[in-house]
Amino acid sequence: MVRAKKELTMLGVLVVLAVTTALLNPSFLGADNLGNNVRHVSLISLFALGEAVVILCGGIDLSIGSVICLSSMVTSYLAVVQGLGIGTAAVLALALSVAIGFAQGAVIAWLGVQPFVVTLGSMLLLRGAAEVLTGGAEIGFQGRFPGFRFLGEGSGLGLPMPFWFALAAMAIVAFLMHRTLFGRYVYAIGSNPEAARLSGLPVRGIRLSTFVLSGFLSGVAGLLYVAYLPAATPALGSAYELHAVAAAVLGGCSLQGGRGTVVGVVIGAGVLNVTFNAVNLIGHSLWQNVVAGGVILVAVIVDRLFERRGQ
Amino acid sequence: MSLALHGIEKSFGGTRALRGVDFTVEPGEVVGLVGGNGAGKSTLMKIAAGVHRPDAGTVRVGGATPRSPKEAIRLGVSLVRQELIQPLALDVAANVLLGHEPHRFGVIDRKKLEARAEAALERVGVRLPLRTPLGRLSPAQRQRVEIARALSLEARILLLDEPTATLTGTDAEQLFALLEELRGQGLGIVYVSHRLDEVLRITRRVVCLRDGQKVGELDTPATTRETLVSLLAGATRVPTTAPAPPRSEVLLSVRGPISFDLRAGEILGLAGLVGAGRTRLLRGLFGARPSAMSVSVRGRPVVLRSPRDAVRAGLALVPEERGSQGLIPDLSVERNIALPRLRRFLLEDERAIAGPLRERFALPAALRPGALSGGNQQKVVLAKWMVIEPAVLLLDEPTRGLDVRAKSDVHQVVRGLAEAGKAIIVSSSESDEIAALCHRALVLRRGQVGGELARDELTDSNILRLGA
Repeated sequence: MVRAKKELTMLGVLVVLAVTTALLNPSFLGADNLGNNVRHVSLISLFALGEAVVILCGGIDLSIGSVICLSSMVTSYLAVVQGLGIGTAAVLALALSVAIGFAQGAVIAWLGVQPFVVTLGSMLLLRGAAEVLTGGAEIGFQGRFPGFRFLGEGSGLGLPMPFWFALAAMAIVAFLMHRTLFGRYVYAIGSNPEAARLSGLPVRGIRLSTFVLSGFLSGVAGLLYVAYLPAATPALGSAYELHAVAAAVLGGCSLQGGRGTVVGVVIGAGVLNVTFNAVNLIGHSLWQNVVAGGVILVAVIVDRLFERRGQ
Repeated sequence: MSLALHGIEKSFGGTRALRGVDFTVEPGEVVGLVGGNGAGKSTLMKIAAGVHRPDAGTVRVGGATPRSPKEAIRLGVSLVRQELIQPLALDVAANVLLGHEPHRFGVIDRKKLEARAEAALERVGVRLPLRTPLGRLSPAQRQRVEIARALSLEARILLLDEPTATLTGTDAEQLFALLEELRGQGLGIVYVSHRLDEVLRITRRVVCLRDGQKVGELDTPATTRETLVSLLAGATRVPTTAPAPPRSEVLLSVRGPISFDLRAGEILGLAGLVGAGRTRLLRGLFGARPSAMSVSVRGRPVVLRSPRDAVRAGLALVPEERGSQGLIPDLSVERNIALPRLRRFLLEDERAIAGPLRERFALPAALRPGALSGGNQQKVVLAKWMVIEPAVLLLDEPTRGLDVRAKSDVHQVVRGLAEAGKAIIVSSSESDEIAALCHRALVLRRGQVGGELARDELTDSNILRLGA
């Protein structure tokens, strides 16, 4: 498959990054650091997968960071302040995340408002709502809910629990995108919405579904973050939607839709997180964003140059 | 100052759009330029306005040769295009003086701008709110803004390409009055139109183009409509072998502003000039735009609110622009073909669905459609619909831009589909194509049926007579 080339290139970049970092600072390979890397790559992958599906369908979701924040906040608030069971609280938070995705998708698909604008509005609104909910304060678990916390902090078969969640999400999304009608329609609509419409495809329903999926995965990520920290803070998830976009782009998705793969997105999330980690380990944590931004720009510029030569 | 074109030649790709055309306009006259679809009228005007450079021949304005639209404007030649391309979000005053704003160190002098815009608009006989965005104006008003713009740039020669295409009757009358006034002021005006009656009414001379050649230059007062029609139509072509007769079963009934019945095995032509409403009719039938038609398929009334409804009811549309409306560029040829047929949530075997048709049309499998020739791309769009076996096939300009061989390939496919019992509508601006394929044709004219032609009446001149 010609398609896999981009993913292979990025996988190569990931390996080179990891090896270089390990050589510069051997503590990169320490069990704690590796475990943390896996945990963070998993969490980023989780919500980046939702973002990628939206992008493949020709949209964009800027509300992801705020949905993560709201989901963790609502869970904490219901369980700690209102005294609901942690399970009930988590389910309600997830339901809210899905409802948010549904509402955004409906406005975008049926009213024809641009996804950028709708999700930008939600981004501000939802983060504000999370702050209002708790008066701007942090809500910690104070040592309660060990079973729930295990989902964030714990390990299974030697790997952090979020890894297993991300693996499951990746398997399901990969299956959806590459083996089902839903996925084929997402690619078709993202590639040429007018031709898709004139081919009799349910363009609106599919657009809506991509935002529901993104809302759901962000909601799950929010639960895992609150389980890991274990507290909900109003600043949680700031700029995560942009990390998600970055992971998707690094993984080979075109922001115009129709191009990219699920595996690519996960590799993109890996490159992004290892870059962050490498800068920290080498001891210049202030440079984190500078380097990450540079990596993204170099990646897309090199990609465009190769594409030109190929034409 | 006069405009003179001599021996103009122009080709696009392999197609010769103009072959040695001479054309002149003197100050104070209105010259008509007429011709069928694709005769080369718009190309000639774009060359006069510096948009295209001729392959051979000369363009002289006064004593100079314009090499770009900017130079042409400076020399006094302004083109008012068929489809007005104006920035609709900018207001009226800004549009009139776009690119020529009075300013001091880059800061626009709004007062001066509005005064000049007002003066220019006065010359074209309208008072328009200067601060209203252009998008809120009617097509007629927008056209006035465009003409005012030309005058504010001190145009001496005005080229109007199909100026009445989007105007209502009274708006057209007002335009004619304005043109007469401008002519009186010494402007030279070229009036390009399909509409022979208008040309006969307001011009002094008429130049006729056919297939890129000048086939006549006539004094308007001594010319009749019939003369023009026979000049433009040229030799009547003998239709090729007749298609197999249709069956008796009516597959499609349409009632509304335009009404007709279509039988199994029948190929109905939709003829008419560009802008006559052919595409609008087909897209309306297919649910791709709102329409007031009531439609029955196989005798059963259907409501078509979206293309999805239409596909379910057994209709299929091969759209005008196969690239931007017919194909998914990022999916392989096979996946493009199988797309409308996929029904189950788990993907079915696309190779098995698309394979037989792909082989029948000799199309490659894994390539993306962008790598194919125009003819093969059109076959992909046709194959895409054949996998769902629609009862009715709507074809909008099915062979536009195809070479002779690809064209006859597509025609063969269309005939085969009719023989297999499909009902087919072919919209085409080429009367040859209508004559070669169809059992009969409706000629559209300004969104209405101008007339119906039986197979043995499908000639250029009949189509022009009913459509122009």
